[in-house]
Amino acid sequence: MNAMLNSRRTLLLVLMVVVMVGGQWAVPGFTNADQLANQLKIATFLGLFGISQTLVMIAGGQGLDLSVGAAATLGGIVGAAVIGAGSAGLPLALVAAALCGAVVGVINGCGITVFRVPPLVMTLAMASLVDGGLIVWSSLLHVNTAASATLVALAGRSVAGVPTVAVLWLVAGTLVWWFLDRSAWGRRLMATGANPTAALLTGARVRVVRIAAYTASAVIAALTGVLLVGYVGQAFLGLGSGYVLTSVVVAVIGGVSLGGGRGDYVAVAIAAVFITVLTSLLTALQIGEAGRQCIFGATLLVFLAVNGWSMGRRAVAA
Amino acid sequence: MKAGLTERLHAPHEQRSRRVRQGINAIASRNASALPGLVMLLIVVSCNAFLQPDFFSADSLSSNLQNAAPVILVCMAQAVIVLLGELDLSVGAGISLVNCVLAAVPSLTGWGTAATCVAALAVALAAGVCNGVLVGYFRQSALIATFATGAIWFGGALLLMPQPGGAVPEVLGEWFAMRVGVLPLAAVPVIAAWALWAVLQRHRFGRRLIATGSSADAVFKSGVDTRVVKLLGYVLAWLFVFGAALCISAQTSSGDARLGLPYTLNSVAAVVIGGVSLAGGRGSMIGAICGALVLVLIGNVVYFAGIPSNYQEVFKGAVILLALGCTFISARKPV
Amino acid sequence: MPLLTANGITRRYGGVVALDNVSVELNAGEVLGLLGANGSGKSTLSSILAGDNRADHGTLSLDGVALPPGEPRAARNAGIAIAHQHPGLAPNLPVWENVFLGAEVCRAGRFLNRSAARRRAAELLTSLRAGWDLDMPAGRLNVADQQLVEIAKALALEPRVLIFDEPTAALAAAEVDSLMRVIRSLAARGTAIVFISHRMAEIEALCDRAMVLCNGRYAGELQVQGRLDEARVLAWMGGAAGGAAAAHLHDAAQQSQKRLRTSAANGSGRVALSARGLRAGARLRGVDFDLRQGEILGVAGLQGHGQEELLDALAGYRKLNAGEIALDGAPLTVRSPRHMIDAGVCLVPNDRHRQGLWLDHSVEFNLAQVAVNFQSEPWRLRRQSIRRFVDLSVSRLRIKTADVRQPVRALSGGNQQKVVIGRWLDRQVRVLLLSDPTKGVDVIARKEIYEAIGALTEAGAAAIVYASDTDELLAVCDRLIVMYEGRVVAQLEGPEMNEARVTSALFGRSAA
Repeated sequence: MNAMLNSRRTLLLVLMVVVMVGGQWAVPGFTNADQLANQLKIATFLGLFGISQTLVMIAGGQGLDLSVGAAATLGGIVGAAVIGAGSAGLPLALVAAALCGAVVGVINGCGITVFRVPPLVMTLAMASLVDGGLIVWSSLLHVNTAASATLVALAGRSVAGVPTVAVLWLVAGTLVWWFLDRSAWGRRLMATGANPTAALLTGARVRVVRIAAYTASAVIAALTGVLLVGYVGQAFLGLGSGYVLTSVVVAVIGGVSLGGGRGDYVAVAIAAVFITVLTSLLTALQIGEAGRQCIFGATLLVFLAVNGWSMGRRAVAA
Repeated sequence: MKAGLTERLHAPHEQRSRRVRQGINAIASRNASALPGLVMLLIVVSCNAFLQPDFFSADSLSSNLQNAAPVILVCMAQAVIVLLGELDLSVGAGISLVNCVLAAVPSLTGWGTAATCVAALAVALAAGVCNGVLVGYFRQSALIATFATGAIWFGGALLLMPQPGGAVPEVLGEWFAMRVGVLPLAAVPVIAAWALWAVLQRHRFGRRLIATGSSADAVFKSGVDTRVVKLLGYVLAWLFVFGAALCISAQTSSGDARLGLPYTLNSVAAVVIGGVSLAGGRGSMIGAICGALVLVLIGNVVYFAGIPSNYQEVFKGAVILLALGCTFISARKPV
Repeated sequence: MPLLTANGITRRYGGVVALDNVSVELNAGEVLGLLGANGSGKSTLSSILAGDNRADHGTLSLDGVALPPGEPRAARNAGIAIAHQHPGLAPNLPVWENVFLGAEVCRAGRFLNRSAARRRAAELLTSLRAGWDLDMPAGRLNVADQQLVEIAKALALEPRVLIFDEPTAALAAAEVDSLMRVIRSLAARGTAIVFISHRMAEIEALCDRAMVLCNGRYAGELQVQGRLDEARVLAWMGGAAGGAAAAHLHDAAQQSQKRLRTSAANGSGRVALSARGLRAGARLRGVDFDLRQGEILGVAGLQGHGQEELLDALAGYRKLNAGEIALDGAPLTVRSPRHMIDAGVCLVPNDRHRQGLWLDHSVEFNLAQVAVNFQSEPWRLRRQSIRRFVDLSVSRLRIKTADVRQPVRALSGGNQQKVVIGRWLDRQVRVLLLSDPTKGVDVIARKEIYEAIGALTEAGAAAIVYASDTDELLAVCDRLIVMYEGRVVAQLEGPEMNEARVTSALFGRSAA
């Protein structure tokens, strides 16, 4: 198991380096400090959404959270509104956003566990509901959507050349890694995802674990939304929608199994950086959307092939 | 002797009526999954009829059918794949691609209507083969693999038609708007697709398709090549996708690379509303068609009820959630 | 000339040798019994013969014509069929379609001939057991019926070589009799049959010849002709351990006699668990019994008469429609498995692959999961105490594993079952529920499993064991209840615990 984990991490690191080296050769200045910092910022957001997907995918049952974009938009808009409304500032905004995310997540979790709605469908419907609700709200109420000065500063600042948001990501990532690998919670999550019946019969509260996973996913997405507002400068509808499917792809490339019960966040994080760097390279090469879409699709396919090849070599035991 | 003990405990006449009940149960259970979708359809149709007094007039039905035809066909395509136990997230992009082929080929090559349609069909079937090979032969996760191919089809559509434009052969648009007596020609592709499916269900391929969705392992152990079944399943589905693209192109008369994108997730939603299990092997095409009709008619309801456009997205989402809730409560088993 | 010849078959999985240079010859009309402990290679060999699996080395030929390896279709076309141990049915398809899966009865152009197929399916199925609902989706059948459909599926091919991989594990006595009749008539008509089973009585009754595999190698074979030299067979199965490995149920019986005397002497007649009026689902229709502390209570009965439902309901896994349970005198409401585990009632489930194990995770993960689920301070893993517990479990139950970090999938059936039991070793278990724990487990591991159960009960726990093998229950349990059609029809102990009384109770004729 360890060997396989390490090989996935190594593979992704190598690919990332290849793209960066290739990028520098094709587009000089691609890897200078400013560019890298920028890309790291973009990768941060992808990586944070990747946490959401990792958690729900490990929870099992073809777990997927297609509402992370909507939850992020919700969190961002609510957060900006709260900051604008009073002088309570950032902490209150974060709490408000987290609460909104929690509501979305709990509804997702209940629909999936109690009503047995497939995650794909449930989170999709939820996303549609939240997005629609936000459209209504923004047409009825006119709230502050500008990012507060603190937020912008937070998103813009750097510590020794490393963007602050990336440091936040590092902290979050470490917590996630600890959660999955070194805590009983993480094992309970893996057990629930890998075989919910066996988990139930050994005393796991399967429903609670799954609902918790979806709640965590939505809360993280909502908080990421607040951060996004700082980065973009403004809260607007569709803030998070571009990240949804990409975050799923990042999780899958990072080796998280859609079937549940298996996943390593470190690999997912590296995958997030890899995808970001690849996308930047394509943009820098001024390849049109047509080309970008094709290359994205082809890369994913190539990666799936590699995935399958390395899995096939391993899954030989009787 | 002892095995028959339980049987002999029941009186003969009870046995006979039990057999009749068993027969009815068999037919009912085969299509039971479609029931919630059917009920939803009846509700939505009643709402439509209530809000739109001339709903059942020939004109209104005809125009509704024209709008519904592509949705029904793409939903049928998705249903084939879902019954097979897989998924296809590239159908929407595929519709865009075929649409752009229909719009671009005449000006690019100067071919006539028939040749253009054949070219478009070839592209659709090739896409189906591609997906089928990836999922069937290379055993990739359908969700991710078709997401990837969807990006490629979208890229292809953009290559052909970077900006909306082009011209779909006019003949198609004319035929699509025609009516033969009471029957709008728009219904023909739908009826043809459904007839094809019904025939295939009497053929061993159709049953093997469902069996593969039910348990690919069991089918493989029975000596059937599941890879071929999956490949042919995808090809069949993309035949329906071609039909959907044909209908849309006939209506819009031009090509637009972004046209088909919403159809993907709508097709999945419709399939689920229609009671087809995403796990594979369970569900009926009738259910899928009901699900598609429900989605189309909801749009009508929202429009005719005068719900402000701001609320439309919410309303649709809420109705879909409600439909799903009903489906799952009544099914009361994992989908 | 032999009908089927397999020469020098070798199959490796990674570093593990499943089969090493095994050769088999089958003649037409012959019934060959294939015996061996779990992990001996029987299932691998039979799957290679049927084309489900491909050998690394070796040849396979039917009637002198070589068969391409690893192609189920080629094997079926040549006339080899296999009834798998785990039925390969499509759960959503009706029974009659499953019987002809892959070999559909067709008209011209491969269109189905439904009526002919249904008729033929009904014929095949009723030869095994009367009364079938042909349209029921196969997923809703109980385990025994699924096995019968799997057998009918193999029969439908009218093969020249028919392989049965543990067909009787899930079947009741009457169905076993029908199956044996069917097999005998097939053999009389010239079909060559391979019959894999752990039940010596069946091998004795059915086979002409018996071949024994041990650790993937050919160990020996002998003519059966109505009598089986059990000692020789067990010696071959045990390999180097020889006589010592003849871990017989007779030993276990002597142990249980000792236990009865000791527990009776301790004066414990205290009731650990009492149940009144338990009803659940369609199959459990009203069960009353008392479980005494320190005793092993056996639940006997034909397959599908509610035993599995009883244990699942007691564990909180299945909803109880009616009834009361009291644990150590205090009434208990059954809410969920977690709740019952808290109270000390733990279940070793029926299907260890689907309900008991995380196959791709390590032995350590599997053993430790109960402790992990109940651990306080869930933000960290108590790795050291987990490791200690795992090592303890492995040594106490003699779980054969190269490394506790290897995936549990790699272990043999018996060792996997020990993992499922071993995870409860450090909980305060008051009642241990075991649902057919020795299904598909070889004789040696069975003894070790019952020893473990015995050790737990000596420490004060009580156990309820449901097994489809009545002989085993008689040898191992202190008391026996017999279930028929969802109710307890007999409670037997002491001199009343004999095969005759159990058999009559099994068919609903309760104690006079």
